[in-house]
Amino acid sequence: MALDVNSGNGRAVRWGVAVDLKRCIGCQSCTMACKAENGTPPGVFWTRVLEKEEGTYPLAFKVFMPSRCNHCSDPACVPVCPTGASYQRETDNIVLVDQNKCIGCHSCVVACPYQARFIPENARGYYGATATPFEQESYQDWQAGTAQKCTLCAHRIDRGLKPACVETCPAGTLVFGNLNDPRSEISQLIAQRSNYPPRAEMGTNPNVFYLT
Amino acid sequence: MAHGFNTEFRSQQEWGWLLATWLFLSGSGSGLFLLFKVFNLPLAYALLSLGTIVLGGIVLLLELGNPIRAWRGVSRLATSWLSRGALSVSLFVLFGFLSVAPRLAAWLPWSEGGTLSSVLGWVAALCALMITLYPGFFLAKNRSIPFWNTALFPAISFGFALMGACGLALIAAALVGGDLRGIELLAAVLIVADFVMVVVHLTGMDAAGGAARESVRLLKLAPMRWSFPAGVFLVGMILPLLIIGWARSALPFAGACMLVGCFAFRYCVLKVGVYVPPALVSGGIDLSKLKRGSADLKREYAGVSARYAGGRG
Repeated sequence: MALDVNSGNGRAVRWGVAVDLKRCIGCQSCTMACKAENGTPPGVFWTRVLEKEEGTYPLAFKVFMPSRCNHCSDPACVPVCPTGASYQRETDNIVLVDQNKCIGCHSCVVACPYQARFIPENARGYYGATATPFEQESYQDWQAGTAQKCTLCAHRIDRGLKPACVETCPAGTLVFGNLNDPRSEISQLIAQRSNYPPRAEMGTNPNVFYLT
Repeated sequence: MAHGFNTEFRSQQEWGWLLATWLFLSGSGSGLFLLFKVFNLPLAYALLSLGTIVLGGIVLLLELGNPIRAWRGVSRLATSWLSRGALSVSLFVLFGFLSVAPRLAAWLPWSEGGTLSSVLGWVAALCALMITLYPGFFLAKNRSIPFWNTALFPAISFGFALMGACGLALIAAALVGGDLRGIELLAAVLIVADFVMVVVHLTGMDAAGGAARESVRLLKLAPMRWSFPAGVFLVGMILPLLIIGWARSALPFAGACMLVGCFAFRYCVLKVGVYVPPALVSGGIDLSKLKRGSADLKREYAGVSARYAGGRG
């Protein structure tokens, strides 16, 4: 049962991710772990590490910024959905897409300020027309022509596990936890360290926080 | 690194000529029905309006990733402008057809000039008004794209819908006749109003900076460099205005020019919808937030610089 447009702020559990920008080394392990866990199609990356060049030669360097769905408490993508396919779970703030309801209108893809939604045109795999056994299995979870996005590994969370990207990060950049629990590691990190939620001015109340 | 991994300005890639065609046809078609009711035009105008909307609807289905489920598109009227638009289109086609049906089939139980027919016609006109209005709000609702996210944008979109309707009417008049003196004046007023609104919008967006300014910049670059100034302003506005004023024998050509301008406007505006870059604090990634100020960096890289300067790089 979806609560679609109700704010996720009032839920008992508010899952969030803290991203320690001091620790990220741009290794894209989270990108690949997500791909392996969720079997996303070619060209689609539910999580990715954005990079930006700063400075000029010889003082040029790169800065990294892991980016994903922010599972906002007031998501911009949910109210624009004309079918109710995009919804927020009743028990927490995880934003999901019901693949059987989505008509592929692209409204949510355009509305997301974080560009974290994707609509694959077809179900072709990485190696041509013949899907690998892994692709045959993992592609069962989504449909071509409908919106897909980071699920925060809801299937793992429901089993008491951390999201795959968090589990795999070798630098300990990503910290996952319940933002409504003041004793959780993520809540304490956010309380102790300077941080900012991305594009908070858009009023989405994102639940990803960048520690600086 | 794969496209999309860099934190540069990106314009939306989801919507292109298919949605632009739908917005153009739906706006022009529904606007034409409003003109049909307000100016009491011949039946052919209503039929042209309905045909335009139906054609646009087919184009919209092609845009969808899953057109078979399109009926689900009316499920979220409370929050989704697309839902409201889809319902309006459905009701418009239904009531619009029923309102003109007695003129096509005399055996129907309601008559052409009767109360029921009139009520059906005005309900269809209300739906048509909604169809002209909703695309502006549908796009303006996107806070992630500042070029659309303004209070003026829905008014501009509405203005271009009516302008397209006038263009259709001017062309149709050459084929089916009808007194269009009021519509000629309306077309001229709309062209001037749309011109002023677009200029004000572009000026405001340019002054706003960031992604909004990038949208304006894209309108000045290829492939928009010609399609916007030449398509929208020259062909779509200036030329028709001159024809309406001084060469009334070429009014159908003026109508065709207005349609070209309306389509070019819809297409260009969609294509230059630039996102606010994700995950960046304003002005780029602030190094002070990483606690590595430029002085620290210079000290850190001083050795490297010295080696390069000494040719030992």
